[in-house]
Amino acid sequence: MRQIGTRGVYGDPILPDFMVFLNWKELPWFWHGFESFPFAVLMVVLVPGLLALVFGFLAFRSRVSGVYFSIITQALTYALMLAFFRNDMGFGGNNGFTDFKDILGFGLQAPATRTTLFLITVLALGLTYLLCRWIIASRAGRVIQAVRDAESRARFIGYRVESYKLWVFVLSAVIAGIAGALYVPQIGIINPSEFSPANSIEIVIWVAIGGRGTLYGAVVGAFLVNYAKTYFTTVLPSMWLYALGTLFVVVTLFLPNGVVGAVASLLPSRRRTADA
Amino acid sequence: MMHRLRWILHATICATALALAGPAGAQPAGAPDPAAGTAAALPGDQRLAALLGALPEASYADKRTLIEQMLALRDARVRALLQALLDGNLDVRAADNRVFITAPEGDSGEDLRLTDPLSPAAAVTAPSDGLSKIGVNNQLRKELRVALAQFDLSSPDAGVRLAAVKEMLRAVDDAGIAVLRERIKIESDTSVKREIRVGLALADLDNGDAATRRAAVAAVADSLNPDVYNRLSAMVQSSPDGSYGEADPAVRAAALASLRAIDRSRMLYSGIQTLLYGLSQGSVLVLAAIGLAITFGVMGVINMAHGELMMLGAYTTYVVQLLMPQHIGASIIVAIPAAFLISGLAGVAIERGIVRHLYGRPLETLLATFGVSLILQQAVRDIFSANNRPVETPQWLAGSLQINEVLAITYNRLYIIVFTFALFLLLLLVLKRTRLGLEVRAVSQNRAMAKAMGVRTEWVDALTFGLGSGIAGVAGVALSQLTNVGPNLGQSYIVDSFMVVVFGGVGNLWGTELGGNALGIVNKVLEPYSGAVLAKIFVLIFLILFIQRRPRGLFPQKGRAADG
Amino acid sequence: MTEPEIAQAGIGRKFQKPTVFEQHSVFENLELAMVGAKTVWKWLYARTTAAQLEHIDQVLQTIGLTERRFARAGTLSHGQKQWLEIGMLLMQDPQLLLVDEPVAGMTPQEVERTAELLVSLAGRHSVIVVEHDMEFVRSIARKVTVLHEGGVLAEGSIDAVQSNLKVKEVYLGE
Repeated sequence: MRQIGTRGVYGDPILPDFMVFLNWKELPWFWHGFESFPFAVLMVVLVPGLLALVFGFLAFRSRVSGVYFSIITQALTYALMLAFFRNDMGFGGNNGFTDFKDILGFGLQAPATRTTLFLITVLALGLTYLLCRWIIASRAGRVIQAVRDAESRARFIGYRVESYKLWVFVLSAVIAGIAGALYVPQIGIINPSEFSPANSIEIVIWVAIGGRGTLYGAVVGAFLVNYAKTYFTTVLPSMWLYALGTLFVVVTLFLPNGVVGAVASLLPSRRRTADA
Repeated sequence: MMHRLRWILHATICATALALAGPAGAQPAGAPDPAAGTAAALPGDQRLAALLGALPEASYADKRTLIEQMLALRDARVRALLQALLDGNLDVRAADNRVFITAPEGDSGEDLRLTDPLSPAAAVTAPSDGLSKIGVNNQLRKELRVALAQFDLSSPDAGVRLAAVKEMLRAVDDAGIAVLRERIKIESDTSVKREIRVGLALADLDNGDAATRRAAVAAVADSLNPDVYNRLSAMVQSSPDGSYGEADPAVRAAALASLRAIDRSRMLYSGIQTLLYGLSQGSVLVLAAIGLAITFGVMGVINMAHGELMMLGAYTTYVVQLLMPQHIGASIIVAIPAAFLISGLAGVAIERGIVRHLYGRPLETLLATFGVSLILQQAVRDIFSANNRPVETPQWLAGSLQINEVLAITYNRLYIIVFTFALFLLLLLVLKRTRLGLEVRAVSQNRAMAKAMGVRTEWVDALTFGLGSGIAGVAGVALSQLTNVGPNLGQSYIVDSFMVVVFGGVGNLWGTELGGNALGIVNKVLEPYSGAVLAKIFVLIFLILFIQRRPRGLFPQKGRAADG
Repeated sequence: MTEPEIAQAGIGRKFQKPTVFEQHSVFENLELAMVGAKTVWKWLYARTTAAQLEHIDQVLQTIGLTERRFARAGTLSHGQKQWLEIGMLLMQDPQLLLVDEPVAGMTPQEVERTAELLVSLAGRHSVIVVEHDMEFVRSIARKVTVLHEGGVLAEGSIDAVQSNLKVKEVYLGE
């Protein structure tokens, strides 16, 4: 099993934008519409998807790629952050939204609701994982990887590279949107500082630590980093940023394939199966 | 209490005016001499002493004559004396009938500081009893004001004359107008002349003769004085009963034309002001980006710690000021090389420790240097606290340059424009005219080939990265004068910096310079319409769209190598 | 025309430096190059049919990489990559093949093998090769066109061209 295009190819720091973007949608934007739960759920998927569609369409059509692409996604994040910090955007300005009380009539503080939300999240993770696996195993998945390795060759043998990129980009945005929608009711607060470029990059490091090139690497990395974060921020708050900073450096220098890659190289017999 | 405060104020104004006037009394500047020939033929000091001695006992009418005679002496000390008389600070001591300029001394309110008008340098402190004020009436006050203005009007210093005219124009009366009419005949300085003309015209606007008013309206068409604008606006405004501030339609039309002319020049000057502000904001952007233009543009390293290198520079300024609190003015000058060294060394360390393992993998340099930026931020938080640190602005950077009534620019903005441009030229020189520059360009174009030709790429990499980082430190020194110095200083500039480099065209210093300034100007032009934050958002969106159109920026690198 | 449109119109293009999908196997490289709609939705569900498998086998044979079909393309030698790339063009059933200096950097054996490969394509595809290795040109060419400074200098059989005085003058000097 091989690499997912999203991060490997695009170094995609845009995901968290949508995630946060989403969180806003979850509650008070068009107040009328969002009272209806199905409508909110639909928007969770549609809004980031559409934003990614427009942005991606423009960027991929003019073949903005690599470094340039990551820089303009940063710029977009930054612009959105500034916009949402404005009080007159109607999203609570600096403070964002706090005190999410209930969802579908169930109190968010109630243990039962929390358990349910947690289970839904686990389920969503599982389904997303299977979906991504299926995509990667398909011929389209192989095209995505081919684009990563030799974009121009893919064009010359007749692929519309930009539509493949756009497709993956929108899909990842939608997944990020769902993630954001699940994140907020469990955390209970959302504000525009989640937009800051630092947060986007932090998510990239989850993937890098877990191991780029594999789907389960991303999962492992997200768990590892967040466990470490919880541990450090309670035990040694000021040490957390040092630890995170060091992680960034160490992983890029010494673990180019992340934890998963390091473990896999210790088990050479398993590597081939993972590769197929 | 309030009164005393006012006195202090007056006393200060008076002293400065005197200092500016300099040897005014000694050199008659050709002012009218109303009392020539009437004084007794005594030497200057004795004459003044005699006139002064007569002052306390004189009637108001006599005082007037005495004042005229004093003025005729054209002595600089007379100005301070008359000012004190006008302000009610001229007292006579009952014991010996001597006259003193008084000012409150100490907090008790009982002691006064006594200055002999004849020898202003010496002053004594004495209790206030036994002193009585020399009185003036309204008529005399008016005369005194005119006399003082007249005194200043004959000063050889055009600045003093200009200030005097402005002071007189604040409350124009017939006597003042008469003085001004006399003065304009002999005035040589154009700006003083213009000010007087405006003043006279303002007075003429009240003239009963429509032709005079019309001429006056035409005469102020080039004035930016807000009083003039208000007066003209009032003339063309209609009241609810249908009448206008100005009855004569021809004069009204002329006033309207003058108003339009003023509006045009106001627009021109506010346009220039926006341009200058935009240039200065653009210069800040360039300053933040120009080091990055080297590390990112030339070397291809996405250095997310660039902002933190600027932060280091800003903190260096803070530390330098802590070390030399007596010399804030020089601290900036010292901080520039210090910041260059510290940030430069930090840059070399980053390059040797991390970046050199990652050449050719730009997105990984992004991750690793982002880690470095987190560590640096936290280190600064632990060493200096998470709060902003106060960095002082030296005297020579404070204040602003007033070009005319509507156009002013603060010195720190002016300096930043000049400083940035100088830095840019210096960098250009280093890259285009030095051996290091040649090798840097060679390595950036073809690393392997440069190595084969005997270029020590390791050295070049370390030095180049150090140079870019050092420049970031210098930028930090400049930023310490403009924004808060805190652990987040770097983060607020990093996205902007990258955008400027990409907008200008990667690997092109000129692109960074022009691109940054263009963005600054666009930002400032938008700001009045949309507010600062929205303007910034618009600029970012514009940049995103621009990069879609021209992915390689304003000035793309040409040739096959650029396609990689 | 965009690159994909050119490819879909039946023109296969190959440049001097071999570019193949190095992380994919030889088989997958050919499979991806296969003629078809090539849109995301169709390719998500696409299954390789028996006829397509046969086509791939056939191309593998033509380019002589049948034994290496499951090898990662990145592990192939320079010459093998060139052949794989030609094979990828063949998978699209192009009417016209444009090939730029295919034998640069090849061993003599590989050059010979490449010549055989290109000659074997004649009849099913039109092939235009740009090359200045005259021996190689002699071994594949039916018609040779000599270009000089943007214009046609000479055209004809290899012998006619080689004996052409103007060609000699331009390429060999006086």
